[in-house]
Amino acid sequence: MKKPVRTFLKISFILVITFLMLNCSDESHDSSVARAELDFQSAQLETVPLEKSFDFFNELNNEQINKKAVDANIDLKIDLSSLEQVAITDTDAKLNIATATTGLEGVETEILQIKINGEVQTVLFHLIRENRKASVTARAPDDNTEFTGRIYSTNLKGEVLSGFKFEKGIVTNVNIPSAYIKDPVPLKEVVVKNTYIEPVTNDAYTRMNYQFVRTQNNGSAMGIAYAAYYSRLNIKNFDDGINDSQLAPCLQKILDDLKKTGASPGNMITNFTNDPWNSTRFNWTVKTGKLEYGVSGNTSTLYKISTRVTTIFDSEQFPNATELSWAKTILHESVHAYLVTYYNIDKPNWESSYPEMLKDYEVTKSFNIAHHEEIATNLVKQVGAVLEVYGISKGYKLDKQFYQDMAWGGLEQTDVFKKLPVADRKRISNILQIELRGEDDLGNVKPQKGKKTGC
Amino acid sequence: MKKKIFILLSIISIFILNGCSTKKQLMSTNNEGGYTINFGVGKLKKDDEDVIIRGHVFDLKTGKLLSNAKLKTGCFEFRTTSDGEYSFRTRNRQEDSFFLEVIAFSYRAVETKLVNIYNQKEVIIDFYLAKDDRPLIECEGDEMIKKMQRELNNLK
Repeated sequence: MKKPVRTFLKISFILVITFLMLNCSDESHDSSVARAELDFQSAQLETVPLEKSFDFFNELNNEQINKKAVDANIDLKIDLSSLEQVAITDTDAKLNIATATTGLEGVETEILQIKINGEVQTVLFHLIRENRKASVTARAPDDNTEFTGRIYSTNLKGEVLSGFKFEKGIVTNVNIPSAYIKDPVPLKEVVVKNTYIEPVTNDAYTRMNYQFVRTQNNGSAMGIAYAAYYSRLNIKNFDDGINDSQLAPCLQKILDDLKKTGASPGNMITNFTNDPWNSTRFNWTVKTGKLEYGVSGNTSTLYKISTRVTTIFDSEQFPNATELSWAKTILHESVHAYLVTYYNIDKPNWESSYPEMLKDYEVTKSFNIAHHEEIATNLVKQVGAVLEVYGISKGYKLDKQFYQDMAWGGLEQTDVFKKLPVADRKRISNILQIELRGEDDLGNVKPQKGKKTGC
Repeated sequence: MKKKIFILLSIISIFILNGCSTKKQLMSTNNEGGYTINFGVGKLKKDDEDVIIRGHVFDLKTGKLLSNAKLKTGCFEFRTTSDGEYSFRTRNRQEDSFFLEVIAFSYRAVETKLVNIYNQKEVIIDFYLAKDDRPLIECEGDEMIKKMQRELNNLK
């Protein structure tokens, strides 16, 4: 009698243990693995031999070549005697820099040259100091405070590639003209503190060390270029890495078109975070699927090793939606994907970055509300601006207000939206509905601004 | 004989495992989280002494202690420390009115049932929170949602 009971107990015990073990499996996020995939890529910078830069700059100085290659308005003149090679952080490659003057008053110019991905790139950096006398164009800084003013990078024709506003050495604003966001521009954005070291005295010895001092300043310019290049590369890598293999072709087309412009999801996230360096280092999976009635997009809140962050779009439910409507939704969801990832891989910094979202969650116990209130508060203008870039690229000639109204998509249930004047809310809701369904709020068929996706 | 007893025992066990009761089988609520309660040793000697409520907040799956989780009771809110620990005093009372809710970002909230804390020196409540895996959804337009809601309501 004892034996079968014992056997039964053994079997039961094994079953219970098995059951418990099955319930202990954990497929959720793993911070260490998530972090590992954020590792930097190796540098692809190479030094241009000094003689080659000298020859190139010399040719630029040649009036005949200048007329061909350089906009006459810039009146670029390179000081060949100032040509030097400076070290760059985190790479063996060196940057060639020379002082230059232009016809622009109050502008300090440097010409930089380096080989990036096997191609020689040349860019001009223009420093415009705040409160500086227009007549002062000498290279040496005129005070020992950290740089306050603006820095623009341009090509040799003087076309602006990027602009940065500095306050006491800290970048406070980044502006990259949309025309140059299409492809990785050779030299790009910012992160850098000015490291100018003021000469203690003006004696001969100090003056001899001027080169050193200059190098410190040039290091800043170079750092800007270096950081800018890699941050743009990060955005491109993110955009290229979006897994859209299960996305309906009609939405794939919109995503592809977004990627060709400064309205790509990577740029959207960067606009939101103002951190082109870190914020796009994650993987995003987008696919098509069936969602609840009235729901166009659905983003997971768990970061999984297998699928990362996944967003599902229900294109089947909205057959009349235009490409502008879907572009808006894709951009909106990219921000959710970023917020989910950031929280899962770096909780402490996320909490300090988004305290309001934490508060909202504690009150409402809802991710949906917390995320959307944050986006409604801080992102509507940017979504509108980015959507406009996309619209222009598709040949639409629509006013800014339309794009700004579209940017409220998915945010109509937020407190921020509900505080808008009634007339604004009504206009926005109608525009969103028309682009989504081809009907206004009252169900009247209305002409759409965008083209139907054919989904 | 032995074989019959074994079969009988097995059947009884299966019934027990399947929760063979006359009560209606209820599904659990919206999340897997929960809590444990332990009462500390000893009782309060005076009515006007306070009861200590303390414990920890854990991630249900990983067992990790959760910092900065918010605990709400009555008019007050407390936070867990960086070690996921909390502790506070509350008024000793006879009425069955004490309950505690814990909320942590990205976890489903858990609320206790009413707990009789009367004359307890110490009540230790440990919470185990499940991840909030509800997806973020885009509801397209207030008016459209209202209209759809009317259409979807079978009872009108």
